Amino acid sequence: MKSRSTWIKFIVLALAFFGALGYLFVSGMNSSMVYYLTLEELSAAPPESGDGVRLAGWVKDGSIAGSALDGAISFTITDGERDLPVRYAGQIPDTFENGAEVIVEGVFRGQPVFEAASMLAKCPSKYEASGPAKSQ
Amino acid sequence: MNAVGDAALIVAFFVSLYGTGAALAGALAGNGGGVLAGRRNLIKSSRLAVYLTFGLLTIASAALLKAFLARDFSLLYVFEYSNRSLSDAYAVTAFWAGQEGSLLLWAWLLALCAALALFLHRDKLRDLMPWATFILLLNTSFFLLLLNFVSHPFALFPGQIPPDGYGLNPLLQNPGMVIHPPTLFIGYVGLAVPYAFALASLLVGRSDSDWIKHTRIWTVVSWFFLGVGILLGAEWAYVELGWGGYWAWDPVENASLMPWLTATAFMHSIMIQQRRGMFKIWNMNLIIITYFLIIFGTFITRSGLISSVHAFGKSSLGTFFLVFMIVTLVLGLMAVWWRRKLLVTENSLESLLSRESAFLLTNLIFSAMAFSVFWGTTFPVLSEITKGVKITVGPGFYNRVNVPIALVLMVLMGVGPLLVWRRPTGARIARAFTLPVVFGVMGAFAAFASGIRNVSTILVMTFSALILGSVLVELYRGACAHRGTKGDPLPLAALKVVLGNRRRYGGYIVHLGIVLIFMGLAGAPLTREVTGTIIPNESISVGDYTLKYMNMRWVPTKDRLAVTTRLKVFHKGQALGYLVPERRFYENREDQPTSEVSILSNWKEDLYVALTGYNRDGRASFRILINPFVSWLWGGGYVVGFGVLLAVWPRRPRVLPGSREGGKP
Repeated sequence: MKSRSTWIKFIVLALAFFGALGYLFVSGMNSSMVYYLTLEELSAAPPESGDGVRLAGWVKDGSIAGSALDGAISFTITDGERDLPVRYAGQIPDTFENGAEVIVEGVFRGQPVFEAASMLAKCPSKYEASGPAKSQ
Repeated sequence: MNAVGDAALIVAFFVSLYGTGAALAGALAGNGGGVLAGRRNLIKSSRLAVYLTFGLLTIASAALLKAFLARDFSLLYVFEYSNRSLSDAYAVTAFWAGQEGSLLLWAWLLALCAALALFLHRDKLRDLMPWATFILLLNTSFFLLLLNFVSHPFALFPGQIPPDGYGLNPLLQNPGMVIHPPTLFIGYVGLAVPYAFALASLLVGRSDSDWIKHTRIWTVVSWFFLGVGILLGAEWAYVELGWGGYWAWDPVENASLMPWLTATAFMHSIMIQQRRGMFKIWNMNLIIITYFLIIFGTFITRSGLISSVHAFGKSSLGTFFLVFMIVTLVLGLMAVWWRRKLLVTENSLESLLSRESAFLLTNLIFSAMAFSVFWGTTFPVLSEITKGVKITVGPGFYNRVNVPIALVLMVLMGVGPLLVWRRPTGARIARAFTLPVVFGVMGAFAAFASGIRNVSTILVMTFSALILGSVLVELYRGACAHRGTKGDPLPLAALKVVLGNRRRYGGYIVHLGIVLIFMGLAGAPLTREVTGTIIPNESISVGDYTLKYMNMRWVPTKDRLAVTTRLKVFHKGQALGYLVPERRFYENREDQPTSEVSILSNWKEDLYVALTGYNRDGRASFRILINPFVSWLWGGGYVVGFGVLLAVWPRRPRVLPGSREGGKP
């Protein structure tokens, strides 16, 4: 009998635990959800203004303007067919360069230049060497 | 030599395949009842196959290593990841810089673990061995299949052999990167052994916990290496990537964290199985899920399915890992289901305030953490399948879920060790808790008095003090009891108690190390940051620090050109020394400068400076951060290491009377 009432108490505690966990999950999701779009999806069906958006693409050759000295840089990301101008004022990753694969994230407001709040460039820990074709 | 390595790989594949079959046949013959003729020979030859596979993989690895040291660019892999100006130390590192080499390293370590496990446990777990051999060799065969037919490290350079290689990415030329991947891999492959023994125990039909006894050290040591690997990766990111942080909740980082969390749960809950015969099904499932998560992590790293800044490019390896991962999970869970009647619990929970229930809660918490990481990592794929749009979740989600449950976990770390098994009395609980609670309150005051107003940081400091208090109470009580019987002075008694219960006190020291790590993490919300562009002789201030920009120099060395800036640091007006953040341009990678950050570290905080931009006229941009408590993070790692060492250091073997040395007094 003792054991059964202990189990009931434990189950109540576990339910409270899972309830709290569920709440944390839902509120965490709501606060950090971001649409991950390709440039094609962005142009085909733009999200609502104010939505968080994460975009992946390649830095268009020769499009980088400005440097950390100016406080912000601007460049264009491309998927080969579509282009999107981006402005970014934060830490510039070392692997950021012409042709690098980057992921930019920010709030979409529908304006022509995308204001990126964060930028990631492909991490080199699994750096795929460009191979003989590129280096020769 | 390359031909030898190549041949060794293909022979290893067939040997391993043969061994897998032989072990299976031997195991099935055993399960069929009486000892069939030849069964012993089958088992013996499967064991030889394990040793032989290990030997052949060692030859293949040595061959690739030699090719790197000789800069033999006739191999495509050597060409892609090294060049002549690379130092030998980093040429060795280049071995695991890419897909093919890291798979070879993995396979070699797996074969090493398999051989070691068979050798160490051959007499103690005789009936489990054929099945364990089968499972370990099946895993090895899988990696050898990939190495021979999908991702081949000995592939030749197509066309004329080039005079120099492409070189190793400069960001990988960091001491952390020399040890980070092998350390992680040791953790990964080491956990294959508990998985194999657990499944073997199920397949043989044993209901006891013998497999746990023999695999405990594998679990603890692998868990330790996995943790060190994660910590080294964090440190590398901190000093090498220049963004001032050590953890970004990137899918590939998450991939290593998930099995670490479930392995932590496993380590805790096997204690209840050993002590009270409870949670047998749960433990089986935990080790199966842990191994599944290891393969899952490899799958997301190497398939390109989930986009990560770390991931390898898209490759056909993904499909192989997907199949392997599903086989690992489904076979494991089916075996548990098949033998569920053997895994009945021997005892039940008697009180909510017992140590059993604390362990059970610990398990829930680690599982919830692992699940939240899994959920966040896979959510883009899930949402794409169900809703047609990829939705990612950011660090906000992981922090939101994990910070509160980590705080509950800390309470449990403080409370759990004070609880007794089965059913404690109220008076005993009150007595045990008084001092730790006093410690906790003092911790809260200390945090508040030092000007910290962030709630979670204050809570972390409170609970850290509580945990410290509970460990001290335990130690004091043990020492007093010891003194009562032996009459030693208290410090000596305490030392003897610790050395006499190394497993238990090693565990407590690990807890203290984890507390230090939590303290380090708790500093993150208190980080202060400024960026600025200045010319020589100008200064930037942040917090109590003032940094005076002295000069900029261009320093050429053998394989690179560095732009070096020098900053004089003042703390509250007092000169502390110099910081020299750099940007480096490596040969072959002129268009990709790398940051070398400069850090002035003390126990309280790190002053972290990165050179983010520069101009030939001397203008320079700096990013300056004050990161509180970061050194606690790395220090905590050492404390954990010490605790693990204390817990697993082998006991001096007892000399039995009648043996050769038995006659000595």
